[in-house]
Amino acid sequence: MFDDRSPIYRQIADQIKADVLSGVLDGDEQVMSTNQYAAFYRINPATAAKAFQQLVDEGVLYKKRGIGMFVSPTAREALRDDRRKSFFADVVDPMVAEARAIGIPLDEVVARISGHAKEEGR
Amino acid sequence: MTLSIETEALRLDYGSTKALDGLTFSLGGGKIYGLLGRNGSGKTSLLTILAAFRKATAGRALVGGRPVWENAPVTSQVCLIREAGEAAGVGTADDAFYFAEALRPNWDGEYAARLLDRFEVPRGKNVEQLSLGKRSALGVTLGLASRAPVTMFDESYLGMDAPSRYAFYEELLADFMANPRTVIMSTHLIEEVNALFEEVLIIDRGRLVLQEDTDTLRSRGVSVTGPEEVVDRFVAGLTVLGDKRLGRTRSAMVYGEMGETERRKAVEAGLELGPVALQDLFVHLTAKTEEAE
Amino acid sequence: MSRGRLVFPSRLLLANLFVGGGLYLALLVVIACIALGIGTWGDLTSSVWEKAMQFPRWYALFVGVYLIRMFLPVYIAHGRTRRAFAGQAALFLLVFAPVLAVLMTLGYVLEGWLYGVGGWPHALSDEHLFAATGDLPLVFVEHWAHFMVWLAAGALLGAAFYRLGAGGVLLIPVAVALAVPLQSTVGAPRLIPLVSGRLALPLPETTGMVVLTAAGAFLVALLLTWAFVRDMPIRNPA
Repeated sequence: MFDDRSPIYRQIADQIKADVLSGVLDGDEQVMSTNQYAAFYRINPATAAKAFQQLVDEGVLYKKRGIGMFVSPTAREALRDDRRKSFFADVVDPMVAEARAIGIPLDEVVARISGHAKEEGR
Repeated sequence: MTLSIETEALRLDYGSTKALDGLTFSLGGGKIYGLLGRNGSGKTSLLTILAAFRKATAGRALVGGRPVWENAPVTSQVCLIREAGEAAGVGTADDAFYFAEALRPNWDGEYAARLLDRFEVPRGKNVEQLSLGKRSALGVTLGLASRAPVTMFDESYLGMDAPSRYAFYEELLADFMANPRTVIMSTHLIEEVNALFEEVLIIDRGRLVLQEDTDTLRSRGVSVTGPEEVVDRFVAGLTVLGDKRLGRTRSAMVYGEMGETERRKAVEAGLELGPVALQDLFVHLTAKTEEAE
Repeated sequence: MSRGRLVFPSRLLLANLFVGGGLYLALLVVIACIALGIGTWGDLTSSVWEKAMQFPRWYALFVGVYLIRMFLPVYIAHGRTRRAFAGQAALFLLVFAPVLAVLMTLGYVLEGWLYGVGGWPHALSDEHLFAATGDLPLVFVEHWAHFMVWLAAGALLGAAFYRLGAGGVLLIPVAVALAVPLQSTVGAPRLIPLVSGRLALPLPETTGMVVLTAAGAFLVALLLTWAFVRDMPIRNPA
């Protein structure tokens, strides 16, 4: 459910993107209508509509006139690309900063990652 | 059909008390509005004037561009529900429906019966003998089934338990989507209902504090936490609503949109930025005007 | 849609007839029992129904009070104007007064039949516009006049108390004053509690005068009521 600490339309958009990334929502699959969404989550329909509009603008969803909203077939790949691009800035850099702050040598971090890589290779 | 609502320098005096003190705002209509304010801030006064329950001391109150007071074509389009919706004296819920059916131009009796079933309100029992929660549920029913183009609920949840309140919110949304109209809800349960509001009005001491798109308002509050001197430097020139200190750490609640560059600057300076709940924002926005007195 | 228009207040009338009809039937039964009791074990020399009139008058006052206290907020809350309500209320009172008068007249007819069976004299013990219990047109007029005045006085008191709270007591003398001319013309001023015959006005005791005083008092009471109602705030729930 949504909290009152950040714009709800953004929370909705993030949730749908997460569903697309994880494969819960497939390409060309229909998503709930604005009204169904509003009723299900007990939120204002205008807020839900705003989230859906943003996702259309970003190319995650597309509209079929008179039928509803669908997941773009390329959405998953595009979202993964975006995440990949920001992966190092969002995940790796803060990890390195944290390691430094608490005194873990970067060698150890690298060794740990290499271990995971070997496991994957097996 | 949806109707706009406007007030212009609206004033209401009770003797020497100023319940409304020059309230001016304009609502486009067709939305669900949240009316927030502390006790005695003038919420009920405002709503009673909009419903022509009471005459304003000065100023104007317009619905659909027309004055409300003693104006039958306008008042027939407006419904205000306080508690049981002034039906408590008439007798049973059935008696209340008997008059609603005759007096309300858009009354939907079948819908009213369905709502009463959902809220489990006994139809044949005297309203005065019902619990507060059931009376509120009857009020909610009268409001929803009135299908009035302007429907207002003044804390119409008192005594209702959580399942009944959620049933109310669900019914309100469903009916709003099926029959668009202008809804104003005054409430203290901000955390519980803020997701229903497209716009929020905050009033305090009879004056408008702000009117804002709810989602925009949710992005307006930022908490800035870090070493005292760094926070001091960062928030200089910004609107600070509240402050908390723990040792040398300061957490300031800043009001206003924060751009990407400012956010980056804060993070680079070693500050932590966090969201602020709408409820906290409300508390600080209305507490501040009190200090200003 | 009937908004704004003056429509016949059928629901107001039906709601009140429902309650009033029940009370009327109860009153009939009680009075019949009392008459039979006195006739069987005592000496029944005059109409008991005549004495029963006290209750319907207070009931009429009560209906007037509740018209404002209860139905004005209901009308306003359902989006009607005070003006529209006032029209409906006045119309209701105009119809309700003769209805009650017919019921009271019918009471005399039923009582007369009972007295005939029992062989008791169906006589009057107080002064009235009508000289005999069988003078039904005048029986009707006198009761109609009483109900007109007491219903309207009730509306005035209802409005005064709703508007002023306890200050409404200030209007009680006004309400009493409204009833004095009628009482004087039917020749029975003592029927108002606490007000003795000294308050009686030297008015001719004619049918025309009864109708005139009743209509006048009704009009004055409603105009005063309107003065309270025209910008009456609906009270906040307690």
